[in-house]
Amino acid sequence: MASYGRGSFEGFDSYQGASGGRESGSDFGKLSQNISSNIQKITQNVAQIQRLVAQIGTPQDSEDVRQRVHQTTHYTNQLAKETNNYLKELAHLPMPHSPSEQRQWKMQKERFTDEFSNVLKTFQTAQRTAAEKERASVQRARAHSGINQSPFQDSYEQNDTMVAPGYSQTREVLQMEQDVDLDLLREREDAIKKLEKDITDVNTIFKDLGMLVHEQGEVLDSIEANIDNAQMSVQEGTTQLSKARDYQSKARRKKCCLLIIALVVLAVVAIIIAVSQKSRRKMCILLLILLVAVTIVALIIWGATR
Amino acid sequence: MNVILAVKQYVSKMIEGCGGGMKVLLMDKETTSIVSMVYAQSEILQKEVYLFERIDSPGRETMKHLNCIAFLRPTKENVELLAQELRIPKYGLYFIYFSNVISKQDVKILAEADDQEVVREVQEFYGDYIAVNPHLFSLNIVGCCQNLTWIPAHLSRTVQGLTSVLLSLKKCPMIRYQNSSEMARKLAESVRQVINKEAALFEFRKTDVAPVLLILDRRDDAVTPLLNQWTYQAMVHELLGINNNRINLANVPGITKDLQEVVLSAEHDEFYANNMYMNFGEIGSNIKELMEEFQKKSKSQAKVESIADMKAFVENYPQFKKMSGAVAKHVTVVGELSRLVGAHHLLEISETEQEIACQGDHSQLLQKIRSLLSSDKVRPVDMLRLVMLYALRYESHSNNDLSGLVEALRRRGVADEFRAMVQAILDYGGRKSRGSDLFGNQDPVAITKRLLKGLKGVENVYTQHKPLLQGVLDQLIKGKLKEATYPYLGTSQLKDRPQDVIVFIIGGCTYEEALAVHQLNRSTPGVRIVLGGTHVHNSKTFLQEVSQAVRGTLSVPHSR
Repeated sequence: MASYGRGSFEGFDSYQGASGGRESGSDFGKLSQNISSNIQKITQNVAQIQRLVAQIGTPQDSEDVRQRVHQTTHYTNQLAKETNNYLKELAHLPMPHSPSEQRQWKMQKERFTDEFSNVLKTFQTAQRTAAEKERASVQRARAHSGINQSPFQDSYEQNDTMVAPGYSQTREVLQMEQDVDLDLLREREDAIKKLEKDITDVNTIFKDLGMLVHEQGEVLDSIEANIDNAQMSVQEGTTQLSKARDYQSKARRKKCCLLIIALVVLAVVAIIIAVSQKSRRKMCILLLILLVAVTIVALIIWGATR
Repeated sequence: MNVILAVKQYVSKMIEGCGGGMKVLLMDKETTSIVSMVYAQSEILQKEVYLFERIDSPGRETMKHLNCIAFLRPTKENVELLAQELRIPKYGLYFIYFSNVISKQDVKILAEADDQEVVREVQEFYGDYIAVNPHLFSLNIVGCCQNLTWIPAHLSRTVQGLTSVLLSLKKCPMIRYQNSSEMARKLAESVRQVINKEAALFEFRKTDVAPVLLILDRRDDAVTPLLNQWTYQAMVHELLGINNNRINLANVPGITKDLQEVVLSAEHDEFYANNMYMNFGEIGSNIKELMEEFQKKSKSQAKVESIADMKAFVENYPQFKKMSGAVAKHVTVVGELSRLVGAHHLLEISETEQEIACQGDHSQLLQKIRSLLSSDKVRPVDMLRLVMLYALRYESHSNNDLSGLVEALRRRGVADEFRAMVQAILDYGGRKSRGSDLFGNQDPVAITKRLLKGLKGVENVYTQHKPLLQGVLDQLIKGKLKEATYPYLGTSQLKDRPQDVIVFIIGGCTYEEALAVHQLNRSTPGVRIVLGGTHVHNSKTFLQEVSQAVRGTLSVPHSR
């Protein structure tokens, strides 16, 4: 959030000072620098996360590793947010005047977005694998707790410590057992999912069936009634069509009337103007031309609306 | 003797005759109704019929990869449209089926139009009527007569419809008709003419007992269509209106968009098939059962814990969805019915109506009608029906106070034209025009029956009325139907009891009568009855029919 606030403030600043091309140019430089460094950092973080994630579920797995994964993920998240804001700002910056610079900016912007999205993608996959691995280990832990009820947990741990020399060996055996359990669980999950799908299928079948039967059940099961209904509908359709035609012709007539009235008004106004003018002769000729033109237009419109 | 099956087989045959591949079904307005009554869209889609077009709809797209099944009535317009279509074919091959007998000239017109030789087949498939239920068909003609005589166009359509029913059921019947009705005689003669003319078509395997076609006139029983109904199908038709199995619910308050129009088809809706003849109370409990079953199912659907559960869910889901649709539909319909019943005092009205139709204490009934006429919640159309029923029942009663009731209607603000309907119904179905004993006043047997019934008490006051048709059919089945009132056309007479009976009612039948026929079919083994009419009426359409029959046309008060 903090980064966002700073970003927006900077954006505001740069917007305010965007009077000259030079200044915006320097802003652009600063922003692009920030972005590229951020992208670099994110790439590094992602690499680190991937490395750490690889360790999860192996003997090197420890609480510390997970902690570090979380931390880096969190940090990278923030970085990504920040970079996103920078990119937004970059898009809002006013364009420089020279076309060459414009092209350069544009190219750079595209490059940044490309890189950023790529990095984000890898980050996402890393995150996902991390989450999956963690979930798997949690499930395993849960399975253990399911098998070994809590009262025996202590003795089990004691056992573990007691056979210290064969520690890694028991670990391995446990791992194998866990894997088998996991497979079982997966199978069961698949079965449940399949059942669920079947149930939804059945549900849709029911719905379809219900609709079909409903449609059939309500049909007025008489040939005569159906024929009568069809005929009535046809008649209704015909009357409505003829009504529509009536309305249309009425509307056309009304349009024409309005047009003629408007023309008459126009002509009257023209006459008044002509009468009030001094140079009668000229105006009369003008008026005549106008009237002729108006009539021609009116006729054309009349013809078009017919 | 199943009209739905008959039409369905025709349609299936058309589709099979066309072979494999994607097909388009080209129909006219009436055949669209005919096909859609027997086939649901989803059902016909399974037979690779993917497109349905009306022949009269303009601007259909050209789709040469489809084979066309054209199912049309053989009318002049259809032949013309089809000829146009064949000159510029839009589809690959044409398989043409006419729903009735087509003249040679029309075939020639089509043959001349078929320059590109796209027609593969021309056949007659006699599905020229609307099959409503297995034992019920209709022709969807409202107002078949004017000035109490046939409108010629409707007469010819009715003859076509009726002969196509006979052809599709493969019956060559003896014809009996109602002697008091000029229209019935005319129709009977026209049908006989067609049978004689197309004798080759009517050559079926002789059965031991010849089938009977009985033609009746609605004017003999104008009471049945005026009554409120309490069985599911009839009630839905009376209160909401069934139009080719479709029910429009757009006017129901708070309706969702999906349910604005629903289809009630006994062929494709199990609940409806099981309950269409149940009465309203039974439907209430049945729908509750349906609800509970559905809730159980939905609970089991909610439990999906293992894969096995899921599998089961997926397998059962479409069925579950179908059930939920059915539940929603029926609950909405029944809910609306019960809302209407409550809002318009239909229970009280119906009780009074039934008493008018069945029992006879004049002064007590007059009192009841008057009090109902003064109620605010009773709809004008219901008041009108009450007064009309009263008019029919007590037309010749000494203390008849019809003018007082009509005056009361006027005071309640019922419009003139509707009050005129009271006189119209007397002209249509009054004592003079009736050929039979509708209210059972003259026949001593009927009187004693009624007295006995009065002693026993009735099971359900809302459904005590039995349509006249039931009595007529009873007599017919027992071979007791009088020759004088229902004579045979021609000389041959049936000696045995009839087995296959086709009844046709000019002026329309009702769902109450359809129920009676259904019950008769079930209760008397060996007898199969099919009922038909120019229309299936509810009170609203019946009033239209009456006003059309008596004078010109008249609009009828809206029931909603």
